[in-house]
Amino acid sequence: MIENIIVWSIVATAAGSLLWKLYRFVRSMKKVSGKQGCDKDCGC
Amino acid sequence: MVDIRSLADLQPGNNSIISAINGPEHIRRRLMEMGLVVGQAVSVLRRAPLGDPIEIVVMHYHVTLRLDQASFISIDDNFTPDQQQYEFISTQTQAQVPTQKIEKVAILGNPNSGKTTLFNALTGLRQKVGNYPGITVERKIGYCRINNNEISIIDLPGTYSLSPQSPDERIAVQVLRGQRQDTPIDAVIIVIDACNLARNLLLFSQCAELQIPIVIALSMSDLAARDGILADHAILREHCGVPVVAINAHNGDGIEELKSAIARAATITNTPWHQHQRIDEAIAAVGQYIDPEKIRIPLTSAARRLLTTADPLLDARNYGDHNLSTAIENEQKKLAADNIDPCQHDIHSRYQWIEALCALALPKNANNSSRSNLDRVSLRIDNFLVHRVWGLISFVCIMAMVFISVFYLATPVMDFFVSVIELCGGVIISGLNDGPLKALIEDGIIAGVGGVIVFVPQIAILTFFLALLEDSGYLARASFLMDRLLAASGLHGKSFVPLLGSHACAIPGIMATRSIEHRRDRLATILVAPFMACAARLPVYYLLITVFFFDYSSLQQGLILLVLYFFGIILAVCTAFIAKKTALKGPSPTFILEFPPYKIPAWNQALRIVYRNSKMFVKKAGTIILTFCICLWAALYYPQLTPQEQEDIAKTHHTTTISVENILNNTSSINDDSSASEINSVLTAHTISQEQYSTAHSVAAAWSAHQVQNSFAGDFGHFIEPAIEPMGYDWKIGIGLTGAFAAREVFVATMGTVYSIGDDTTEDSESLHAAMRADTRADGSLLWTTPMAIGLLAFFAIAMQCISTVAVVRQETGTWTWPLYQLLYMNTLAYIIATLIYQIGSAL
Repeated sequence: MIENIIVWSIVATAAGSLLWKLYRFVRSMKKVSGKQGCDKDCGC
Repeated sequence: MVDIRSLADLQPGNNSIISAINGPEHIRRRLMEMGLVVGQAVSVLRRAPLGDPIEIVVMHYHVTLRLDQASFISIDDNFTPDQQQYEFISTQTQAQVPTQKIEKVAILGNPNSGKTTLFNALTGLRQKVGNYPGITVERKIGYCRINNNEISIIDLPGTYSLSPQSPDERIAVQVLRGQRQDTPIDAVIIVIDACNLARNLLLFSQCAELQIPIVIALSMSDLAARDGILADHAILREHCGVPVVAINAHNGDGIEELKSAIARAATITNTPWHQHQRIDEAIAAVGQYIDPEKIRIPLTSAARRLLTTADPLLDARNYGDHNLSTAIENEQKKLAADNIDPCQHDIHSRYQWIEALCALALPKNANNSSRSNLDRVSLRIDNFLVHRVWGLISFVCIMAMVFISVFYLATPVMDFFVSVIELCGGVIISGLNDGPLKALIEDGIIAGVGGVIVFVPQIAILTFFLALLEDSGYLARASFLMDRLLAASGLHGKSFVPLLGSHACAIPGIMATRSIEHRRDRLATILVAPFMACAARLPVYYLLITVFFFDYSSLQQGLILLVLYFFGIILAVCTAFIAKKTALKGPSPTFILEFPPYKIPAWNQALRIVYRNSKMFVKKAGTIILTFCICLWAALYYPQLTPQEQEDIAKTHHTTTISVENILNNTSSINDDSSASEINSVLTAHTISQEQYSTAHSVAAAWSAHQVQNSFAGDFGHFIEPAIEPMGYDWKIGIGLTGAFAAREVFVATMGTVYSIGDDTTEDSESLHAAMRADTRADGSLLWTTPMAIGLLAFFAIAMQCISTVAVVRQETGTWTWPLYQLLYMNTLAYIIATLIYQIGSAL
C-alpha cells in the first residue's frame, strides 16, 4: 500500500512537471509572438 | 594607355590599385567600409579550389569575396592616388563630467577583434570566444566593479561599421543608439585590433559622431609589439581625443588601466577629418527638417546618415514630415549633378584621415608587405589547407576524422559508463523487494535515463573537436572552400558555420545565422539547419547502428555514421536549392568574409564548451527525459494483469500461477552469467526439472508481453499503429516515435523501458540490443529487419522532432509560417522516404 502511494506520488509529480513545462513553453511562445513583428528598428 | 579592369580579372599573385567601386549601394558601401577604397593597393592571393571566391589582401589583412562582388571593383595599375600632405584638424573633446555616474558600458569593435575576451576579463564571466568573425550574435551583459561602483558591461556583436547589414550588426547599432530596452549606455569601449589599426579606426570615426563617451582599447597589442607594428598611444590619443589603452585580455595586462580610463571616457564634439564642403552644405540643408525630439543621435550624424543612405535602420518618415524626404531627395540630386557621391566621399574622407594618422602613429620601419609573424605562419598553412587540390582533400579528411572519431574514441568510455550505471543500479535495487517501486527504478529510471546518459562521451567528443576547429581559425577557410558548392544550392560560405554548428545542436546553429546579411539567405540557412545531424540524433543512430551492424568494426560503424551525416547535408542542399528557386528566389548572395590568422586552439576554452554542452545534456536527461521515462513506465506498467489473466496464460502452458512463481523465486539466484553447472545445481537443489524451469520462464515472458500490450501505452501504440505500419513499425516503435517529439533521445529511453518491461531483460545495452534483434511481429516474422532499420534511420535523419528548434525558428524568423512549413515539410518527407525504403527493401 505505502509502496503504491510512493510510486503514484512520483508518477504524479513527473506528470505535473511535464505539464508545467508544456505550459511554460506555450506561454513563452505567446510572449515571442507579441514581441516580433517589426524587422527594422525604428524605436517602436 | 589606361588599363582599367575589374578585380575579378586580376590573377593570383598580382596586385593593382583600386580606381572605382561600383555596384549596388549596400555592396559598394560594405566593400568601402572593409577598406576597399579608391587609391588603395590590393592583391589577389588565391582562388578557391572551384575557382570562386577569391582571397585578397587589402590594408594588410585577408578577406575573401566572390567574383561577382570583385567585378564591382575597378582596378588600374597606373592609378595615382592623391599625394597631398594631410592637414589634421585638432579634436575638440568634452571630458566625462566627474560627478556623472557611469552605469552601463558597451564593448564595440570589428568582428574577431577580441571583444568577448575583454568582456570575460572585465566581468570574470566565461562567455564563448572563438577565432571566426561572428561568434557573438546577441548582446551579453556582465558586471564589473570600478571604484566601488558596479557597472554593467554589454558585449556587443562585432560590426565593421555603424551601417548595419546583418541582424547581429543591427543589435550592436541599436544598443549604441539607445533603441534597445537596456539602453542608453553611458560609455563605449571600442576594441581596436592593434595588428589591423586602419580598418578598425573606421568604426571609431563613426562612433565618435554619435557623441558617446569613448575609450579605445588596443587589443592584441602584445602581438603588434612583437612584430614592431604597435601604434604610438600618445599620437592616437592626441588625434582621436579619447583615452587609448593597450591591453592583453588573455593575461590581464592593461585591464586595470582600462577600468580607470572608463571614468575619463571623452566625447568628441567635432569630426577630426576633412569633409567635402558640398556634402557639409547638403547635411546642413537636410538637418533643418529633422525633428530633434524624434532622434536619439546628434542631428548632424542623423542628417549625414540619411543623406548618404548609410543606414537601413533610419527611415526619414520617422524623423520629420514630408519636407525631410523631399530635402534629402533634392540634395542627393544636386550632389549627383555635381558628380559627387556622398557615400563614397563619406568613407573616403574618413580613410584619408585614418591613413594619415596611421602614417604618424605606426613605427616608420613597420614592414608593410607582411605585417606579422602570425600572418606569415597563416599564409604558409593556407598554402596547403586552401590549396586547389590539397585544400579539398584536407577538408574531407578533417571532417571525416571528426565524425569517425566520435564513434571510434567514444566506445571504450561508453562501455565504462554502462558498467558504472549497471553497478549503481544494482546497488540501488538490491535492497528493494519485487514490486512497483523496484520496477519503477529498474525499468523506468535506470533503463530509460541510464540508456541516454551513456551518450555523454560522444556528445563531449563531438563538441570538443568542433570547438577546436572554431578556435583554430580553420572555419573561415572551410567557408571559403565550401562557398562555391553551397552557392550551387543558393546558400553561401557564411552558411557553412551555422550548418556545422547545427551538428552539435540546431538551436545555436540557427542563432548563428544572424551573421548572414540578407534575409533570404538567412531564411534558407535556417530552413535547412535542422537537417544537420544534431547531437540528439546521435544516441538514436548509435543504438540502431549497433543493433543492426553489430558484426561490423568500430571503423565501419563510424563510416555508416558519416554516411548519415552526409545524408543530412545532401537533403539540406537539395532543400535549399528548391527554396532558392521558389519561395526564396532572389539575386546571388554576397559573400565577404575576413580570414582571421590561425592560432593554437585554447584547450581550456574547448574543454569549457565540452563541459557546458555535456552539462546541458545531463540536465536534459535529469529533467525532461527523467520525467518522461517515469510517465512512460507508468503507462506501460498499468493496468496490471489480474490474477485470473495470469492464471489463464499459465494454463495455456499447462501449469499454474503458483507453480510458476515458486519456480521463479527458487531460481532467482540464476542470472545471465550463470554457467550450466551452476544452473543445474540450483535446479537439483530445488528438485526442478529443466522443462519446468523453461516453462516458468516462458510463462513469465508471456505475462510481461501481455502486460505491455494491454497497458495504457500499449493501447496508444496500437491506436497509432495503422498510421506507422507502412514504414514497417509496430506499436512499440510508435510509442518511441511519439516520445521523440519531446526530445529525440527519448526514443532510446523508450526502447530501453519497453524492452525492459516487455521482454523480461535487464537494462544493460547488450540485452537491449539482443531483445530488439529477436523481437517478432504477431505473425512470427522478425520486426527489426534491415529495410525497416534503414528506414527508421532515414526517418530520424529527416524528421523535425525538436520542439525547442521550432520555437527558435519562430523567434528568428518573426513568423509562424516558416516553422510550421518546416515541421510539415520535414516530417512528411521523413514519412515518405522511410515508407519507400521499407516497402522497396522488403519487396527485393
